[in-house]
Amino acid sequence: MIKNNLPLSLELKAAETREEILEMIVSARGTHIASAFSIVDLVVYLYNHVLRINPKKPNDPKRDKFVLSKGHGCAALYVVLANLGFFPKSELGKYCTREGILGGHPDSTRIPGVETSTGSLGHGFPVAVGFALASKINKSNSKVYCIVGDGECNEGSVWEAAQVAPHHKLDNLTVIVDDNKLMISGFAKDILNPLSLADKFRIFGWNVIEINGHNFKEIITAFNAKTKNSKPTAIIANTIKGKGVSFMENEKEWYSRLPNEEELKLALDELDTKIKKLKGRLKI
Amino acid sequence: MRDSFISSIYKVTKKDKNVLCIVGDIGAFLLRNYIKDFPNNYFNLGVAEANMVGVASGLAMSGKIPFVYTITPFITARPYEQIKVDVCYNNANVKLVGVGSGASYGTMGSTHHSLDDLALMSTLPNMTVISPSDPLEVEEAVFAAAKHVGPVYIRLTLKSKPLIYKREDFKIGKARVVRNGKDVAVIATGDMVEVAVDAASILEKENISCQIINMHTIKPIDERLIGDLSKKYKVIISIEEHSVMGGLGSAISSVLAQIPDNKALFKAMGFRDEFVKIYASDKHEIFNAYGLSEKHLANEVLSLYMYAKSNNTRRH
Repeated sequence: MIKNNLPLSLELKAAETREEILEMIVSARGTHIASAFSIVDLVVYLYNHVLRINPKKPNDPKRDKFVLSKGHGCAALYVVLANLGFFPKSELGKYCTREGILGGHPDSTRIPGVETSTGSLGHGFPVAVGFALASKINKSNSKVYCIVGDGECNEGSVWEAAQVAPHHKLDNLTVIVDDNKLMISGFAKDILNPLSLADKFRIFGWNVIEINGHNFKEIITAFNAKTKNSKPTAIIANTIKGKGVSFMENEKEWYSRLPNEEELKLALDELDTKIKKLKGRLKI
Repeated sequence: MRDSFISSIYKVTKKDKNVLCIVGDIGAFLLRNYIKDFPNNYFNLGVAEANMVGVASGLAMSGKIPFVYTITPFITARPYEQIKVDVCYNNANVKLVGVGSGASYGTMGSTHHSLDDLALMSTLPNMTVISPSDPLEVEEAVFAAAKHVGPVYIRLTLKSKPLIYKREDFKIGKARVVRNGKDVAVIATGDMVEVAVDAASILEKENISCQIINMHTIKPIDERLIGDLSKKYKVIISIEEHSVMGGLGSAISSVLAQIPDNKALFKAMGFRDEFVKIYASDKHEIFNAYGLSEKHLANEVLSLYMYAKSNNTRRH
């Protein structure tokens, strides 16, 4: 059973997270706002309700592990990790600077809570398979979650890993495909048509769940589904690149550009309005 | 060397159950005792090397010590970016073992040769590169790699019989003296150490005495020893079963170039900028065709030694 207010309070957390991402990236003249926005809801839910982790003990051997294989969406991860206390929030203000630990792609050797360095596509998924395999060898309950991008699924190594995980019965592994259907040059279907990612994972031997990756009721149901037949699980999350700021949504020009002053105000106003509305409904 | 790796991985796993043997679909027959006795430590991850290296990194970052074993080009060149990012950037405790390195697969063509692996591995931060010269050294390298925390690459070539010489203890980064001499220093690695020993016997007849160094660690290179050699000898020659670019010779020359008063002449022998275009089941035929036999080495030593001698006379 989903508690009545849970989806709404998650929506609120996600909207606040989007505001922090936007401010962080714009002030550092960084990039990849839209890629971070498409995974915010998933990352917020995972870190607040799924992963068994302790920010004070980021290397606890019993912890669950999260891998952001699409490392360019890391702004979402940074804000969530900072809010949980993996590192001081002041680090967000030092994003992409010489003084900070947070770069344009996550570095596991510098950032507490980052399990493996990513940024080059097709790397995180195999490493996540390694984490899940180690957990099986150790007969540990530790679970592994990994977000890959739909564009990232162009990479051959993704499908090497997708073959290996079911073969080794890694039912402790959940891969979430951030299926926002947009790549740098345009729509994925026009660049390298993925056809059905759900069918592909199914035929590779995975449990497949398809959801709207911005609908918390569907997210909660998917992550609480029981694993079956010792298979790993693939959640195909239909998402929208730039989700949360209407003029950025599903627009390829927002893949990498930064808002000007006027656009930033518009974006923050939209998120503020949403936050106020949600707080009203939650009576906060 | 391959058989020595097989027995060494067995011994090292027996000692530490965190050691894993991960293969890209090779060695199943040779590893049959390992698979029988350590079924939970053995994983054949199929012919999918990029994934295999990524998985090994995940295992290593979970406290395991994976030795990842396959034919050299498929564990170095093919998953190179996985080695750079997943292994080295994370500084994951992964051990890569390449079998049949250099031109060891003499009849298989250049797809199975690796004249570039030392260069590829040496340039990666955090990586240690070991190139053993005989089966005994393979075992020492496997144990040292298991003990060393951080990425290691072990390059296996063919030599199946031990070299006979008095060995100092094996230490990563510390070269071994195979034979003392007084006229010329020859620094070799892998199967070329034996070639160097054979060349030294030829040169003895010409009254030239060679010191032979077994440079079993390419990175970190033994800078101290190279410095000492440069003071003692007027001629230093390196020989390797690898391209002259980026391997042993390059590592030595970059050390020598940093020594302001270096007077030693240096020549690096190895494969030039080319693929091996002949098939030969005896690798020495390839060495012979590409100017890397003991006779070629002896000739190089002789001509460089004579040149240095005459040059030295002119200078004074």
